[in-house]
Amino acid sequence: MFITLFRKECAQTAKSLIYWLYVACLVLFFNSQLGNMHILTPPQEGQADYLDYGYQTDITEQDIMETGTGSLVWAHYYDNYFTYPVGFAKSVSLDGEEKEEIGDIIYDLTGLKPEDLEADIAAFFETHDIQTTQYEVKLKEGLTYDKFLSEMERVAEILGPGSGYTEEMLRANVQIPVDYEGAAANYRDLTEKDGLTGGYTRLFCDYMGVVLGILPVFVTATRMLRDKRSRMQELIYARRVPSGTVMGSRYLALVCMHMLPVVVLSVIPTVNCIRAGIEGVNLDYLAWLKYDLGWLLPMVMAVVSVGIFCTELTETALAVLVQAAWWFVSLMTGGTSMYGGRYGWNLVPRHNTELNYAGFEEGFRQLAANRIFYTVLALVLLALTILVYERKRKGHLRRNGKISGNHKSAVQA
Amino acid sequence: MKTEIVIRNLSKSYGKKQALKNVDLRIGKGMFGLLGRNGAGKTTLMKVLSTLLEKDSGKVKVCGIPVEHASEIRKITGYLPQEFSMYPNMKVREALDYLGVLSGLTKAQRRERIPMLLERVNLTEKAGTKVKALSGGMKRRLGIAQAILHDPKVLIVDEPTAGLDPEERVRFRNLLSEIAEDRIVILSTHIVGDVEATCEEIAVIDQGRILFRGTVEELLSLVEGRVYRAEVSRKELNRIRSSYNVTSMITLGNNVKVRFLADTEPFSTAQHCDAGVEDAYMYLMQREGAPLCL
Repeated sequence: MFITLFRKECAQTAKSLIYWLYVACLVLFFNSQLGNMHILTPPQEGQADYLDYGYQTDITEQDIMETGTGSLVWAHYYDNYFTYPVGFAKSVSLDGEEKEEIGDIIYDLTGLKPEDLEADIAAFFETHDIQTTQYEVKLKEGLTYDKFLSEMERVAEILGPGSGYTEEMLRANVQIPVDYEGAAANYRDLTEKDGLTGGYTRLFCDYMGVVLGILPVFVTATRMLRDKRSRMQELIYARRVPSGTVMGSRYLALVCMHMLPVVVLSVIPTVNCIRAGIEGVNLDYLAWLKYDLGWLLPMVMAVVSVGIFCTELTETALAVLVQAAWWFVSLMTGGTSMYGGRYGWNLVPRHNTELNYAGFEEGFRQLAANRIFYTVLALVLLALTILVYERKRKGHLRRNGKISGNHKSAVQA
Repeated sequence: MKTEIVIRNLSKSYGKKQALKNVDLRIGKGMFGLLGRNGAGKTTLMKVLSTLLEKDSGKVKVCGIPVEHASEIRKITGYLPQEFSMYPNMKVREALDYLGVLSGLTKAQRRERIPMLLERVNLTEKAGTKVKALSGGMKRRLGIAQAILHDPKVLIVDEPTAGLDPEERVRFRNLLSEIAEDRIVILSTHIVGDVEATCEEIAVIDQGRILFRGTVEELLSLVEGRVYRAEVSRKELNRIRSSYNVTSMITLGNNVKVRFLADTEPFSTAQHCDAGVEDAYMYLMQREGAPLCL
């Protein structure tokens, strides 16, 4: 019965418009982010830059101070301050007193007076490419990291919530391109340890995770509400089929149908790697499968389980709101660890590069724990959904779209 | 396993509102009509029997199985809810196949029973039509087909003819009568004509209590010799309405043909006439002090 129901649920999902909208969104997003995937070739000594080969990961306090102060000087010189209170850029206008205070802070950090800034910026970009290099400023001698942080704390206070001058953001904003040795090391990791395809599939997971953290909830909520809209609930409740079979088969079908286009798309990076025909690389032909199952499947399971649980419990589209909030928080949290390696307990772990295998290796245990946690959470929510469904079959918890309390129409009596 | 439903002292409340009060009923094979106005407690009783509601107290056994054993009960009951519908974009055959799987039918059983049932409810030609394209009457017939898909011993049908045109209603009632030959069919309705035309045994329910339980003849015997008709002027009508229980009226110009209940001969122009189920139902309601509509 389970397998037959599973097949029928898959067929129902495949016939729904919202599912094909989901597929279209995935394909469009994939094309926009990874459509022109460029497979790295070995770095050559003496080439113009190594921007494609990643950033330095061993960031020092000095790097943070130089980059952070440079960013502040730049913003102050152009009077162009931004904060990111809810993830979106917000322009901040400072009054004269506040600008003066920022100027004083810059002086404390660099010894530069406002009238010296233009000359310093111009001098820096005489020797650096403005397109590819962050402005760094020479710091005052003897400036300690603690003193720097306390000054930046004041800047963050002046600018308000979402400022880029907190320690976490200052660290996240340091992006120092590698030199030839770094590029060669990163490339070696990519080809030798990651089998080339591993890195690109991880990048695929990073991008697809962004949309898979939210889109499945729409398809799931629509499917779950279809019973109510079509007034099928009582017809199904009155059947002999166990609640676990109804919900289990539906859940499995939704997860599989959501994963199907993901699996198909995930093969593309591997195909691109094969087509690149780079010699001497031992390709990992099954990287896509490992990453689909290990990285993306737990996410899809979690999102679908939030969808079925909230929708079954409330008979509303509340799941969309819940998931949207969770997704948003995840993306905002992940914004400080885009280069990978720091996955934490984020639903949408970020690793926005085909490189940084070292970071991946270092954070692997955390990532594994993260993914196991979401798999278990998904199964717990599924079990709770089955319990809710079983109660509803016996006349309890029926809300008819109302969040609070049971509802009974007069005609039912 | 005896084909019988036994209900003893059944009560069910929704918060402070008591929907069923100490209901006692015994229902055997054949068509059984449950008659009552909207809100009388019919749907609650149907849902308790279909395991879609848990009772508060009392005992209910369906073919010997206590209603608490929901999964066992669901194997032997079929249910057509009051607000019947299906996934609108599914084809008729697909919808039945889906519900057949939920009823635990094997592929072979579904292949055998679905065409047979579609023929029985006269929907063979509509097998490939989407559910949303069916008329109201066709949908109800499809509802019957889905309810007897797994060949249940008990079929529970809640307000099935509401909204149907006369022809479809007659067709539907005949279909139910055919189906009731070898099982219990409980027809819950507020339409007296449905019960009169199809049921051998009936119960009348109001405000959660069973007011009457017996055969149609027994119900009619309650008003034997008490039904009168007369043609009166419009002025006289108010007097008759205040003195008697009026069960029907037909306006004829300035006069009104009125049918009413009276314990003794009312006035000289009134003529005695044969009792109908509707008369008996109205009498029962009046006797129990329930407010009447006419």
